[in-house]
Amino acid sequence: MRTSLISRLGARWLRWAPLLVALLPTIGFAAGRLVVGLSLEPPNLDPSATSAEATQDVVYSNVFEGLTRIAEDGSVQPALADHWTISDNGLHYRFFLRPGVHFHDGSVLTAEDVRWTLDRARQAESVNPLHGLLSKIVGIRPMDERTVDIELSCPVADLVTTLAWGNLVIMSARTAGQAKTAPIGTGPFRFTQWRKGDSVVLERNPNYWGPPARLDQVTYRVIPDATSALTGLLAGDIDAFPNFPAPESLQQIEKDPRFSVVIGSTEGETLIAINNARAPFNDSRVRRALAYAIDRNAIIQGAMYGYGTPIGSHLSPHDAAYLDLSGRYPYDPERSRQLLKDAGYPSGVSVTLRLPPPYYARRSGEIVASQLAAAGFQVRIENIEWAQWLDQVFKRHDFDLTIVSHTEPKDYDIYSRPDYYFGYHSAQYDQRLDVLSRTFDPQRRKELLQDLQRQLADDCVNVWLFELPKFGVWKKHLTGLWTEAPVQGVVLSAVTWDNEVSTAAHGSVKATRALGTVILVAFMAGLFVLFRKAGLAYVLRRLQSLVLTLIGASIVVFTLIQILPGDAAAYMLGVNASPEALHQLQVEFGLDAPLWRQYWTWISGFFMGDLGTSYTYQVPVAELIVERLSLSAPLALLSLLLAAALAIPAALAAAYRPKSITDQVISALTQIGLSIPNYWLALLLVMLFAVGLQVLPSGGFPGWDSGLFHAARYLVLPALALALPQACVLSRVLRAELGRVLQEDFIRTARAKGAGPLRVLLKHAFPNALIPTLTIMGLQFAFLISGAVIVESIFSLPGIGRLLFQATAQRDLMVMRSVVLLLVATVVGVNLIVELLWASVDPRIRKSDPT
Amino acid sequence: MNTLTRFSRGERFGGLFLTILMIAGIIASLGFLDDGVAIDISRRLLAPSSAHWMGTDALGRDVLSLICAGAASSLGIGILAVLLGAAVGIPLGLVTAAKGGLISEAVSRGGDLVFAFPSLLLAVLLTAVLGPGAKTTILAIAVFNVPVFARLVRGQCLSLMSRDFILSARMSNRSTAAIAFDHLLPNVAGLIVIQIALQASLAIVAESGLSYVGLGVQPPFASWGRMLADAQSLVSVAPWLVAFPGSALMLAVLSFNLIADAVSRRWSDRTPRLDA
Repeated sequence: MRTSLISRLGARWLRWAPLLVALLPTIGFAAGRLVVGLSLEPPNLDPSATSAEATQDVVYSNVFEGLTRIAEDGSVQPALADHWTISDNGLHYRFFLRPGVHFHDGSVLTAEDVRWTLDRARQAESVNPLHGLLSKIVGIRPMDERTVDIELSCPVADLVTTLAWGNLVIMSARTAGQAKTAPIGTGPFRFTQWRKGDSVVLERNPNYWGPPARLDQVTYRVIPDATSALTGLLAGDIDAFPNFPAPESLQQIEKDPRFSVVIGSTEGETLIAINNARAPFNDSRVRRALAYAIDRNAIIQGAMYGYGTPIGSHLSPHDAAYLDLSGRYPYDPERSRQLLKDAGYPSGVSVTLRLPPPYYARRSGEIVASQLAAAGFQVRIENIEWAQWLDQVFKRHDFDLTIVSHTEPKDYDIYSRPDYYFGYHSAQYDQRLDVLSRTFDPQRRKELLQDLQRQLADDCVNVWLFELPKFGVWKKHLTGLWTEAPVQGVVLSAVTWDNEVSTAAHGSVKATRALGTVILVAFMAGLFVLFRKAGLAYVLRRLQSLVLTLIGASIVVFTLIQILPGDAAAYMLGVNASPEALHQLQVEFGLDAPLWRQYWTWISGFFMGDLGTSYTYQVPVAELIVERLSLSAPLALLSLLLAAALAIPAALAAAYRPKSITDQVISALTQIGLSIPNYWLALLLVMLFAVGLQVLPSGGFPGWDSGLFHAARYLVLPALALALPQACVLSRVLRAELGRVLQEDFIRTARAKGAGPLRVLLKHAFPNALIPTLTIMGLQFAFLISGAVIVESIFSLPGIGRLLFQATAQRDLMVMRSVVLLLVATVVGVNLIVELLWASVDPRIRKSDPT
Repeated sequence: MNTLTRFSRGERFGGLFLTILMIAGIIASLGFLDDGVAIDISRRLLAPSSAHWMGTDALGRDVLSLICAGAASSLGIGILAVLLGAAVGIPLGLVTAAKGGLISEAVSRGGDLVFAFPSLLLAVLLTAVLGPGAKTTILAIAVFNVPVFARLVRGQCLSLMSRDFILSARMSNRSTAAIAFDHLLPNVAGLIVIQIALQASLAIVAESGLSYVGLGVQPPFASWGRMLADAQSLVSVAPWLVAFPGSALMLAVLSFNLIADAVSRRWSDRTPRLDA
């Protein structure tokens, strides 16, 4: 009875599998739609609260605008202010706002909004990354609806430039609070939707004050992994990658007639940062020894495939005042050894090189390590996450060397910041910088800037490697994207397609919902039947033990996660946070409360269904989890059914004639299949079906709202990659179990009564062998939900595994705790269901102690 | 007689391949392959040839040398992690089986928790606290092996506890520890060997997975998982970078599985004699 119910359910589901594969309509995008690839997900969408480049990529000049803006050539252009005047002494600025500018909520932009934005950014507890640059402002006054005055304590030469940067875009006091999750600005695009871990969607703002955007809709898709970026592009899922993360693939893409590869420059000075405050690096001879040991060209060749301009100080090569100092310390390992000897380290110096995640750091790091080793340094590489980098390197200055790119434009002021992680202090530098900030004459400014560059190189503060190039890759028919990146951001107002592509219709949303409901109801009904079969007393006893396990687990999980170094507040605020702002945010997150209270708040909420609010995404954790489970649960289910669909026939065929050729071949195949790591298989599947044959999407997930079959197509390859190894396990277990059952007396009885071998196998042996197999499937389901992280990232799927991995990297304790506890609960719950299945079949289990 | 004929085909293949890998790993760790493993930009991305049998990678390292060096990390970490897990898990299983009661309950609940805990997260946690490297990787994998062995040993021992020879040992007033080690352990030894081989195959996959996401052994030490991760975006330019390390990984896993399979077949052939 039961088995037939299960097999009937299975059969019904299995009917969908070929259907899913058969339904492969090609999907194009409407003329006005664009899908942009992003390597990192924005921590939030409020550019006034984070220095994350990903946030700027989405909102700068698209959703939000400043008084001024930076154009592609690096010049400052009017934006919300259509002109401005500066008093002769350089202390008074007057900005005249453009008429007829509306926020996306319909309200009118006024001078008061400008005052509010800038005052908020410059106050003591401001979390604005540019907070420090506004310290010379003493007053901001709206003069009338469209005029605003800014008064300075001393002249600031680049104020108009600073105001063009993405962190100082104008917001309205009424809507700034929601900017983290649903930003409201004045730009040519307005925010529509953010699917966490997957995409951010913008649409054209029909009421824009300037020339309207040419695109109707823009989707930023988050693709953290270089391979997925390439396959996504080749498979046609991504239209444009303004910052392509894999220079090694550029040659291949260039050969492809569908794409343009455009190489520009960024403001990213990529450097080996030296801890100048720590011995032996406080000795300039040791720092010079480092500099002489480095062969920039080999690094640019090896790590960047020849892209990138070598630099020798902290200014970008396209700046007018740039001075090429890359030959200041030519590659000379012998000289390096000599310097070390002079400094008193004849047997070398041991150093730790801490590398953050970006590809340029990790790849350069390996080469740097081998070059340093050749010059007598003993190098240890430590790859760390961003949260750790921010905590250990940036905040606590606990490092010898690190490699990082400083992408803020004109950020030479960092060398005079009192507690910056370089540990560099020079009164002369500070004084030169001060003079520079008061100097307006371009020629004089250029000289001063060159003095600064020379001084940094002479002091050998860091070893500058190269200016980070910008690899723009997009479809040939796309025009208007920027080649250069003089400012963080992906400006889309002028982007357009020069041909028309038709769009495919999506399936109905109703079908998805209905199917979801049917599955849920069926599941609940099944549980109810199980409970009744197993008996109330037994169920209660098991439930009690389950709750105790969960409470124990919650304490362990909480404690373990608490041990993690690094915190969410530091991660969110990034590299330019002030200590006051950091403390403010920690208080806001409740990180200052005693531990037991933090635990109690969490666990009491957990059982009431309130999981708190994610630190980084600023949305309820429960919402995030449900969003991710709506992908992970169906994916796990699909993989499991696929695995069963493959394994059961294989095992039956093998068991039909033990030791036959079929049995041996299936045994060998499953043995090999079992040995293939699923991520390798995933990669091979992508290469074959998405890039080669182009019949299935390479990754991403459009959400179930886009239609059942449309969405399910995106799950076919991941499900296959997960299912094949599981199918091999399952098939072997079932085959062994069938072998065992076939030896039993009742089989002999059945045979004796004249049942044919096929009938004996299917009607007598199979149902009996199925129950132990279900135990394995239960375990597999739990594994498939939580253990698919790598496969999820290869396919850029926003699943629960990746949510947990990202939350860990971002130190989002709220999300981590609840997800882990939920996963633990899933495993324990699935085990319980399997036990109940057993108990409902076998009365002996019900009566005895279940352990 | 030829001793090799006593072994099955699976054992011969598995044993041979693992031996080759181990020798390769030792050769690499002794520094004989340092030339091949060294970064040399001038010879990058060369296709397989007589000079570089498996080609070179993006930094000009010889893939064959890297695979040999990676074998040292992969096998070393995999086997050590499993042995460490077994060394903790087996006594735990024996004691809980012999004693029962509250300790037994606590240990098996703890095991449930470890099984349910997302493995990658534990690795991230350990790495954040201890720093990345081989030791952390061994520890992270070992933790998941402890309950596997504890559970296996406990389950087997519980079924042995009611057998006559244990009852007679009990009646002769032998201590719990003596019963556990003298009577229970020898009877589960075979199963433990099978499990060690199986777990080693899983541990190798786990190690490559951790290296793949950047948590395992750190450069300059080679690792198959990291080789695969590095190779991914080069797959159409340099397919050999995906093919060779992936195959090495697969064959190593297969070898352990085949050995486990063969031993377990041998063991199940032997079991009836034990019962008699």
